Amino acid sequence: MSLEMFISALVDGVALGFIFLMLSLGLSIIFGLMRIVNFAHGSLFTLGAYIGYEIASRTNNIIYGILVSLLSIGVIGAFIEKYFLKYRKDPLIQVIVTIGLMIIFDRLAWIKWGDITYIWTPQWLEGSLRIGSIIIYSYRVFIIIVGLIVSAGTYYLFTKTRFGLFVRAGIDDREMIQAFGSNIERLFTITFAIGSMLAGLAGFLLVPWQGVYPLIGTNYLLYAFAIVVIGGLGSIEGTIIASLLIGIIQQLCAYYAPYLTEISVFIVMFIILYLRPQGLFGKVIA
Amino acid sequence: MLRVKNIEVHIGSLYILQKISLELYEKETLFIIGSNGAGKTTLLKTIMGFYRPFSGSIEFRGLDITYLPPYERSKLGIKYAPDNRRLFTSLSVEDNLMIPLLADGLPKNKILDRIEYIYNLFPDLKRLRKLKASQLSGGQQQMLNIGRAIISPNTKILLLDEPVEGLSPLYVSKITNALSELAKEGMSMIIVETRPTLMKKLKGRCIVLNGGRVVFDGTVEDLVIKQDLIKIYFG
Repeated sequence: MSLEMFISALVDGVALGFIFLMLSLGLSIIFGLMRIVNFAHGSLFTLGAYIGYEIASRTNNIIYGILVSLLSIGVIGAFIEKYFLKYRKDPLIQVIVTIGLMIIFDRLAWIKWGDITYIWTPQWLEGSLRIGSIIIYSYRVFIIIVGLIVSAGTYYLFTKTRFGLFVRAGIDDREMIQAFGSNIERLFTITFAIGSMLAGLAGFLLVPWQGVYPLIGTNYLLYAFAIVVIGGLGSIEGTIIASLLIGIIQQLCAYYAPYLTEISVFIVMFIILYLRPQGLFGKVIA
Repeated sequence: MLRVKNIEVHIGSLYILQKISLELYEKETLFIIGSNGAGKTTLLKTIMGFYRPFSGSIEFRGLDITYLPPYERSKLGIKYAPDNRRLFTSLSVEDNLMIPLLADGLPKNKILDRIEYIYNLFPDLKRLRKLKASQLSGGQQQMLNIGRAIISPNTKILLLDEPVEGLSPLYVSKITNALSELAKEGMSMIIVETRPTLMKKLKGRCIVLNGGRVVFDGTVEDLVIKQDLIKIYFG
């Protein structure tokens, strides 16, 4: 029960929180705007991790890994939306299609990369920083910094740009935004691509810390669903706050009560939903 | 200007619009009245493009718009103010007004001009402009609903569904005055009403819908003469 351990757990928690944030934000915005529950979202996380890993380990450059994973998963996301989801508006069909994609992607990943966990850390981010007797791993700090940049960028995109205004209006009323001249279909594809990009980035950022294996994304997706529900469906602020909260809680459990780590998310979800069914900032009771 | 020919609309297994035809001429106001469930809202939504007719056609200034998506119809100048307002609730009043202008691609100075125009028409909205749309009262929301529909300089036809239903006399008069101004300026409007509130105050032609069919098409004066219809539809 030392201060050093607590701070270490907190830093890990915030870093994990940002990973959750990037993964969950995509899910939340896609659901909020398009009412699509994307079960393949986790597979995009996994794919981003693998693609980023391949590029980064060969070029020995984490920035290239980040850029390539962002771009490639963005393109894949746009492709999925345009060719698999766009004209299938029945929610049940969408769920079945995305589950199918999840199974296919995850299996293909297993075939290509196998069962082992790949980890790669850039040399300049190995090791740790020392503040007094407190040790903080450099890579966690890197995740937090990237997370802050991505969050700021996403926040700016959705609150200060014309595109963001249209997405927020579309989340409020999908039909009326069309009645005022907005081609919502294009908005959908772009939004789906952005949400997917964030998932891919999150997956790659986790590689130096926890590595990548075929089912990692789909495992994290489970937490992401819980986080989105805790934060409140349709609420961007809710997703952000819930992600950081769950990241911290999970890491605190990992340090102090390891047997609770896996289920801590769901305990929190149960409590929040019991007290407040719409989630912390929810607009929709689903 | 707008010609609806024999359109049939089904929603699920319900046969709502049963071969409806109507015409809206330039610069005129057309009232569509009927009891609840007659198909008035469905008709407006079909004109806006939210429903596809099973058969029949819709023409706007000679252009066939029957299968155009709503955003294309909006670009042509057809604007819609629905009966349950459907504002962008998490956006501010001003942002709600900006959306049509941004979609039009107007330059910034034009945008400010148009917003000022709406604020002159509805001074309350100016005062409330920073509030979220969800924080407004019913009457204020309705003013925003109408403001949003007319703010685009490209607006050629206004589709208004129950513009003053359920509002207090103060707001009824504010909105009536605004619509009267618009009519004087030559705006073409289709106004749906269940109770003949605006019909008595604004001039125009009128169509009565019952059970998905047009049962009367003529002037308001002619309708007043047909007492039996009035008894049936307005009790």
